[in-house]
Amino acid sequence: MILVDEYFALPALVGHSPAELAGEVLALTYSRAYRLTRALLDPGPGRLATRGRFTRLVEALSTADQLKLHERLADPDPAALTIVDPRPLIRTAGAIQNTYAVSLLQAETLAAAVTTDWPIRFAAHESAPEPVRRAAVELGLDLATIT
Amino acid sequence: MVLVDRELRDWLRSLAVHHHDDDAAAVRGQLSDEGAAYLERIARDGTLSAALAEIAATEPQLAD
Repeated sequence: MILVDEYFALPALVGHSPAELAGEVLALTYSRAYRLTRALLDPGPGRLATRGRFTRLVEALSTADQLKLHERLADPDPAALTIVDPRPLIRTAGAIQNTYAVSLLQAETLAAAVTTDWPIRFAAHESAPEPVRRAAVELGLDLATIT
Repeated sequence: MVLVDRELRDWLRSLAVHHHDDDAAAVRGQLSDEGAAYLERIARDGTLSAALAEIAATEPQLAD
């Protein structure tokens, strides 16, 4: 199992696992899954329709593909992508945020790695800013960015 | 007095995932090759990154 960022997770979600991580089951933390869903979710009816700032991302997809993406975001195929249960990570993530200048999203990813010993592989340098890299080094985590 | 927006409420309820739901399983399918390729591209060309950064700009706890 490998913890990944959204840039690896999105292709995996639709059956296109990145070549760099072929054969591996990928794992996405709850807050990253939440952020990815926020970026891709249909704005819905009524009042929410005016808040769909990010729906432009999926407007290029056919209606059928949008429906399938919607379902996969909500309930990924566990053979391709697992959403990490956040509940066992709460105390660890809280302690990490009390120790390092990281966001909740970053703390949860670090907490998942500390707890499971899974490596972290990011597809974008912005996923691993200096505080995250420093925490990973000090916590003995296997973190790498593959671009 | 606040009126309940039933349409909004019903839509939000429909988004909740019920695991092992046969109806959900029935609609799970492969995206078209074009759709999957598009998502693969936006994940790597900066498009998704820009959207995530926009979220993070107003919600620091969701920032990288």
